[in-house]
Amino acid sequence: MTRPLDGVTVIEAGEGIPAAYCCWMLGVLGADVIKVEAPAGDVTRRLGPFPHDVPDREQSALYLHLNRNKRSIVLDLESATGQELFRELVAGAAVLVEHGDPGWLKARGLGHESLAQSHPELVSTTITPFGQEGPYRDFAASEITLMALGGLMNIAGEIEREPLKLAGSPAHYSAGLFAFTSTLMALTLAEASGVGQLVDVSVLEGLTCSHFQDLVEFEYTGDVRRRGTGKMPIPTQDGFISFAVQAHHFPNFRRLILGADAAPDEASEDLINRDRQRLEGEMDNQILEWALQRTKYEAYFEGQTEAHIPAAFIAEMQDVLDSPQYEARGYFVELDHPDGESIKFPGLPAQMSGVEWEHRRAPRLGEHTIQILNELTDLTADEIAEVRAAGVI
Amino acid sequence: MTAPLPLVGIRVLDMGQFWAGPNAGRHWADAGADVIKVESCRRPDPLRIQARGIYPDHDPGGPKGDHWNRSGMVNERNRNKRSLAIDLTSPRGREIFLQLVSHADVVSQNYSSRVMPSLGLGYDTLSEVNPRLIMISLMSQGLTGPESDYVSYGQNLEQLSGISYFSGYPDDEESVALALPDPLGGASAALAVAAGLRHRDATGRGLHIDLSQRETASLVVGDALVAHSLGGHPARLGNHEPGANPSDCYPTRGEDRWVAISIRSDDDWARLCEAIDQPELMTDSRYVSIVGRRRHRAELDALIGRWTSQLDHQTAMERLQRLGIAAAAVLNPRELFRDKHLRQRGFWESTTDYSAGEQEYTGRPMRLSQTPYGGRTPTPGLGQHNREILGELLGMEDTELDALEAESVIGTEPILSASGGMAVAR
Amino acid sequence: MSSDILPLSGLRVLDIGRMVAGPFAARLFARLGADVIKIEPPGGGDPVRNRGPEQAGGRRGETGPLHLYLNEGKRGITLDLASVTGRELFLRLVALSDIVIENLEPGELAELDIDYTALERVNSRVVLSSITAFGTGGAYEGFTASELTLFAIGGHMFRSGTLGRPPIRMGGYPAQCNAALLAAYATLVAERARAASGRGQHVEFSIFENQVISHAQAMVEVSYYGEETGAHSPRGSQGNRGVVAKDGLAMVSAQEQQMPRLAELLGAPEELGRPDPMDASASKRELDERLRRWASDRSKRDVYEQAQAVNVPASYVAGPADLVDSPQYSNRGFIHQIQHQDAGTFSIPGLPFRWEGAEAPIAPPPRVGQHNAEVLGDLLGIERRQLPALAAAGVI
Repeated sequence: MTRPLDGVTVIEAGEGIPAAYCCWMLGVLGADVIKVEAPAGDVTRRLGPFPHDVPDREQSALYLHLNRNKRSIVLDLESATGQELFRELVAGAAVLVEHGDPGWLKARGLGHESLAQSHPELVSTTITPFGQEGPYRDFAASEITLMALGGLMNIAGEIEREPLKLAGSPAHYSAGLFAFTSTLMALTLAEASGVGQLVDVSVLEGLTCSHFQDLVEFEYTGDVRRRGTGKMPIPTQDGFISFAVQAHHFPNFRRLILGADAAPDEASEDLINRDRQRLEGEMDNQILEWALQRTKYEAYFEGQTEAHIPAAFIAEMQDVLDSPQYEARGYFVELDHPDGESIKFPGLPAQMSGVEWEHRRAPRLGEHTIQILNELTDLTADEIAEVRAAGVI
Repeated sequence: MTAPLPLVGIRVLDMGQFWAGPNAGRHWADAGADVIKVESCRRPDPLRIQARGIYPDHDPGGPKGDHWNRSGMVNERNRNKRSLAIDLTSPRGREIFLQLVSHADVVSQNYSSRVMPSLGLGYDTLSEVNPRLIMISLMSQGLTGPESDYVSYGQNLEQLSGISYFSGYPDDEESVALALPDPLGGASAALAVAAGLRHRDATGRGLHIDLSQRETASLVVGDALVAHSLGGHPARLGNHEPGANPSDCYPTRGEDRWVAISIRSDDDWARLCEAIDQPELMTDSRYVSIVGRRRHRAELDALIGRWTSQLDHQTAMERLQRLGIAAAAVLNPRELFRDKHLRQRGFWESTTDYSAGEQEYTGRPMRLSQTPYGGRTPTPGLGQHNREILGELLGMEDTELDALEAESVIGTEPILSASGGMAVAR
Repeated sequence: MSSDILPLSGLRVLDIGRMVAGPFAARLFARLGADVIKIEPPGGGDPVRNRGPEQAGGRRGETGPLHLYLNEGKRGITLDLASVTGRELFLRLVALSDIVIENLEPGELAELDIDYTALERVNSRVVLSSITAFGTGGAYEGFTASELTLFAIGGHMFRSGTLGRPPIRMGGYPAQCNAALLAAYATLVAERARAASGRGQHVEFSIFENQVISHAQAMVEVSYYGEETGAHSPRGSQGNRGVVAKDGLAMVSAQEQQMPRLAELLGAPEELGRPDPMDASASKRELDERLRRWASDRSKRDVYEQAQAVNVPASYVAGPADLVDSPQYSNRGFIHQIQHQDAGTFSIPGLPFRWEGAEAPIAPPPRVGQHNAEVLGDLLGIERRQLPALAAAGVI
């Protein structure tokens, strides 16, 4: 069965989250993704988590998640031989996606300009913390520093306390997503025109993009949004529930909490003038009482199906894995791995009616080195053995 | 240096002949063991009496006519030992030997497998006399097995061990023959006894070490055996080492002079370009990668050879080493004897031999920071310490020793058969 | 019956060596029953793992024959010795160990601040065994070396090969194995010295010097005569050349007193076995010719067996298949079979000497970092849940 990116070869270089995430998605779309790893392996192989806490480069959950649908080749890009082999791989590819310090490939003679000389259709996507120019270009960065600089940290947490980073690595995943969409666009253009280009993705910008609303508000009104204005989740018997009640939800919400036979309240029926938040605040005790009489699932379902209001329980990991909603959509993918137990992974959140996704496990380090060299270079078996013995592959 | 020599207090009866056995004895002696070279006037170490031996000034007899004490090959590997020359075929000699065994920790022998039992000196007998005795039989193929009785020289063992198969030009079936099994055997034996001593300390019991020189030599190519068992086809590599491109000998100035060079990384290649004053080669696409250096090997060899041919091998080595490249001059024995590094290290040790005058010999390759390892006494003359040993250890008096001498049970001169000297295969 | 006590039971050895010399010596200790812990850089581990060929379907770096051969019997951990934490963990292990073996580049130990002075500070009883190319002091101090260059400079190479062609090295790893065997001996001797002195010491071994010593005859000649006479196999001749059998090379090394038996074996007239000293070379040529014809008619093993049967020294060029099939080796149990999770089943030589209870059971070589949890846990009390942070920081 054909997939949108069948026949497209993607070279992934560097390490970390964004390029890997981007290339995973390209791989699900059918591209042949060749992940180039240093002899020590991608850093995510060392970040875990690991089964039973025992570090094992083939069983790091982060690596296994980010690198499905790819083949792995080891290339030591510090060596001239490794650089030459890299050029040969890229020569047979449509796309190069990389994440690392700005200019790291160029410093090894592998920058886009140099590669595109003999391969003008090449699309190179480079993902860096701040982009390829600007006063911060060469600054060191991490998820927390980018979140701080990008404005997201200032508005998270409580006003009386320090700002809070969001959980996980949303900045880097966002960057991967932006790289994914831009790369697809550049690829389409290259296929049409025969000319590739350099796609320059900044993690910082991707982060800021995701909460532009606050920026626009500031520009418009001069108001700086303050953290701590979010609502607290409400405890139930076995977890937490929260409601996002807007004006038109309020009557239903009131009836849900106080009961269908609650006395009508003029203030709450006044759609235009009522002060929703104050009114909701007056119901705090009843809300709490109502919630504590229910499990989080019960509260959630009642709120949704009886009152038609946006209700949600705070899902823990098991809730997500057990969710009938995800199950119905076949969202989770279960994959075996030669080194460990079979694991469930998140699939692609988009379904295409004409295509069925294929999901393959992440590769072992250098698992496809020889296969790839045989396909894309003219190295003999002896030459491969020598290059291997020198530690370049 | 504060500590006493580590094997002080250990006594070895070293019956070793030729090379491997005495070599091992020298290792223990260097470490402070009291090593008694147990010889025989009727069957001396063949190297004491070989027809074409190495003698000072090409003069076997020397001023005293005792050519058996002037053999270079004996003097090289028997230092720090005492010599007892005793006829083990005589009942009295055998009896004395057994008494000595009770005062010894180790008996080392490398006769062919029939000899010790035929002398009534097999391990069963010796361990009865001394249950804590460590005996080591340093055999060419070990004490057991269908080929254990076979006789072999070093070159034979090299073939049988697998070394010859892998040694030589890949395009030539002939192999090089370089006689390494003997020193390998000596080292292996030294190690085995050191381990045996520790084992004995723990168990309180003696043991009989069955050592095979052929197996020891096989260790040199052990990885090929592993590779073969995994379905591989390991082959002769010549001067190549995997991952090094190039890896070979290049001609230098003079006749048959060479320098060996190992380019083990792309970095090494870049530095070689620097060393030979041709930095532009660093970006020459023919050679920049391993693949290129292999595909253009002929041009590469010519290029390197042009440079090396202009220099003498020592200079070529030093220039390359200054840039961190593994290079070494192929030195001949005379060059080694004069080599400045070895001289600066004090590697050559000068001794005044029993009968060979003052000579220089190779020293020791190990240095222990707390212990003064090395030569203390020269190789003994045949039977030089007969009286000292038998008096000190067995309390024998002069009269008794005189009688033993008169009966030729002990002595200091070889008693050869009518056919003259013999060089017996091991 | 103290059957569980091996010769080196109770000794703990840290192997921080790379490639051949150090790890080979460390494996000898493992065979003899020491607890040998191989410490490799995190990531790719010891570069020896890059030498193939690798088994298809196995993990990268886990199935190369040279690694499998050298690292059998050891536990494997990873430590980045260049990092502060890695060095600290290493020194804590040194405090609990008896021997440290290394064959790193000149100056590397000092650069990492784990030279003998540093080790002695944490364990005055530790023996540091350094197997070096040229040792400290002298004009070549600091020179780097490979097996080729060590063999080349050691003296043997000068006589090898054919005139007009480059000298040719001995196959395998002769210089390093030769050195490692004797260095292992020196290390055990230094360990033994602790009983009397109460302290350890630094054993430094020079592979170059060991090669020179191993070239004994030539060295004695040049010492006594001022030059080598080359009487024994000058370059360009192989001395006692082999004979071509049906399936390979063999060699018959009859000495004068064995000639009669050889003549009889070859079906030659008796006189050829006892030649007139005036006419020796012609007789020798004829005997050689008969030997060639005789050998060409049989397998190399038959040449060997039949000559040996009449007490004439002989041999044949054994390849790896011959070694694995060797009745002598099988009888003596020299070659062991071993099961490995990545490589499958393979054969491996054991120790070349034996006595009752001397040799530990063969154990599979470790994966990179395979015993991190066990060693760091049991010896240093590091809990499992602390390991991921160490891995993330690149320490293990």
